[in-house]
Amino acid sequence: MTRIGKQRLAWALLLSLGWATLLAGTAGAAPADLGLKARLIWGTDEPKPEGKNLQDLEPALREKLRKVFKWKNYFKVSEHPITLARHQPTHVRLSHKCEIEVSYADDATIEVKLFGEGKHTGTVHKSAEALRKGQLAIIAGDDKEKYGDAWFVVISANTP
Amino acid sequence: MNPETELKLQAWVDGELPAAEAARLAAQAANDPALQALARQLRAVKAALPGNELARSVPETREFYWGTIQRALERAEVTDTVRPVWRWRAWLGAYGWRTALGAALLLVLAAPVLRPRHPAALAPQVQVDSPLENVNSYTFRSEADGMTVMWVSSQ
Repeated sequence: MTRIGKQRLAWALLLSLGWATLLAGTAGAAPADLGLKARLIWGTDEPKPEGKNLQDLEPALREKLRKVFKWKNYFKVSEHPITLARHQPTHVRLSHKCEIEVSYADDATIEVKLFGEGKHTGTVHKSAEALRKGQLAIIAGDDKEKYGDAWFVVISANTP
Repeated sequence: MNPETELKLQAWVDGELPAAEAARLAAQAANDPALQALARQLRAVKAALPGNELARSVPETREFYWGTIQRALERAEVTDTVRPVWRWRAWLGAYGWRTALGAALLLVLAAPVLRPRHPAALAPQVQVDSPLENVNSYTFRSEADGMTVMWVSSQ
């Protein structure tokens, strides 16, 4: 192969690799389906009441909540897996009063909207990457029905 | 007499002034002995120069002299415009394909680092709002505990 032939081949290779790198980078920026878990949790200082369908919270999450919040006990009211796809908001009813809408706000950010008794109560944005790494997005508030107690909507990655 | 008048007088003597201005200056000179004396002097110099210029000889002919200058100018232009291109081509011929291969290899190795990340991935990870007037909400974030919390309290 002549010198000019080698040059042309090398530059063609360089251009091809450049385009391939660029396309790979663009494709990598698109969000993949994300497996999430939404849990409705009740926080109280009282023991687990008899006759209510409450589950004990897994110890790791319970300790995390105990470190940050004042309540001694945390019980799981409901849990719902969510597979989040791009351009497709997911609605999840956590209780008869509480519903959430989860969607991609953009390629890298998850948006969680809370609806209490049908009213849009608040919105939290959280990085999808942070959720994948084990961080939590929590919307919480005082329990209107029982003074001193609290409810928590915890969004996390759905890891086993 | 100011320098401007002297220059005008010289132009008048050389026949370079417009007719109207030449007439004005002629009238002025008719009443000004200094102007008349200078005009005489300038006319004498003008008359003496053409027939008394010393002859000078140069080793080359006039055509050869200017031709040499022109060729030197042309060489300078070629040097300025063409030589860098030839240098660049020569460098590319010698090292270009190796450089291209090296750059390609570098691009492949650096691809994971160069991959664009969405700005939101680097932005603060929380944005909170509550559209209800009778609801107070605030947020806090614990990096150590890995959680972002929006607390909602009804008034």
